[in-house]
Amino acid sequence: MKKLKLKELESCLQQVDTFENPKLLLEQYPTRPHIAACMLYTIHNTFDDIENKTIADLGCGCGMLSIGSAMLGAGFSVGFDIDADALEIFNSNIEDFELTNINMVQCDVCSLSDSMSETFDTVIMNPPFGTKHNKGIDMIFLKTALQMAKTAVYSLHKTSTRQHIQKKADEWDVKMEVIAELRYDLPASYKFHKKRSVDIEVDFVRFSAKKLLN
Amino acid sequence: MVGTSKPAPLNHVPRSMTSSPLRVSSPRHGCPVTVVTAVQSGAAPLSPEVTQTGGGAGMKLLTHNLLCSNVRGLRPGGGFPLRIQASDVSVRPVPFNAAFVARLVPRLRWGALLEAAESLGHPSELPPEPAPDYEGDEAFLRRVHHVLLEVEVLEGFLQCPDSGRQFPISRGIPNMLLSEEEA
Repeated sequence: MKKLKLKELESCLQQVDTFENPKLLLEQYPTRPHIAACMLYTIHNTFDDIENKTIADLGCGCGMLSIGSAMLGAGFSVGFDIDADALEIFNSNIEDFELTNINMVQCDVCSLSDSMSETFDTVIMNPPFGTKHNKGIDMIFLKTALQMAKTAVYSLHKTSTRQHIQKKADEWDVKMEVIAELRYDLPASYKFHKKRSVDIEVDFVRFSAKKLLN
Repeated sequence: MVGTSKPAPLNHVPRSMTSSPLRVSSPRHGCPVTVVTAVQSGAAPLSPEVTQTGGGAGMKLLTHNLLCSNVRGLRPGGGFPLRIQASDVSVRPVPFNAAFVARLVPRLRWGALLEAAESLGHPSELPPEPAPDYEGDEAFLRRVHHVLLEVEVLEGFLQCPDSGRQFPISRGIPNMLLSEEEA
């Protein structure tokens, strides 16, 4: 398989259709193609956690991370999201890109069965941060991800929560590695945003363990 | 496949990756779809017997093999396997990836896979258990590939074995949302 360059990957991901009317309460915004490409490229080239692996994308939205994973040779990806509108866009993206190794499930990630232990090699996600009357949701996503993953979980979390997450990771006997610090240039996607964009510091984290949950 | 790699030092990845400046997203009218040539996935040429559906992929049996009912209060293991009642099944060619399928075989819930394929009218022609030398048996791996990845459920229901609760599948997407009382 020809090696896909970072720039090529980013360029492809710029073609991914995203939310038409992002839902405020679900914290919907697309993972920016540049960030998604850098994340996925690292996961693939540094850690080899994408090619020929099964991947779960929790809170997949329009599928940016799943689609990027498919482009890097994922064996099979499944996206999970609560919102039918987002999944419809994801579905049409899959059709446009002619991808055949992606599925999606509509569900509340917070209510996923806890019997799905180690069902995927890798979980890659950009979870909601818990800023919209849903405090703590990032940790529920993380815990679920750790149950579902066999090898590693890659996730984005606010830098301000790093210490809290580290504590939890220790509790859960999970190794936490901050791979990079990002600055989110969140576009003013919601009408009430006064500034043109909001800067948030975000950690790109890899979780793994001798023993993941369960 | 490459053996386990130690994490590279952080100078492989920019320490601080600022995202590109704000760009207003515009509709894709007139933009040609980028065809990615480097990728394994992508529809293979169709053979006459196979129906190609429009729309994204239907639910594959690999997904079915991984999914458990999330109804509360089930007995341990009572949420798997979900029973498939399909009203629209199709077959979509998917490029065969022997290495990937071979990796999957030991992790599949084999009985559930065979049962699911039967119930869809696509009997798998697979043995009750994988043979010990399955890794080198391409014909076997191709049959596994076919039922796991090429048979799709577009419309129907998944039924929780313990509770009987039905989860609809529409346009290939299972809907496992629980009502407020159920959650």
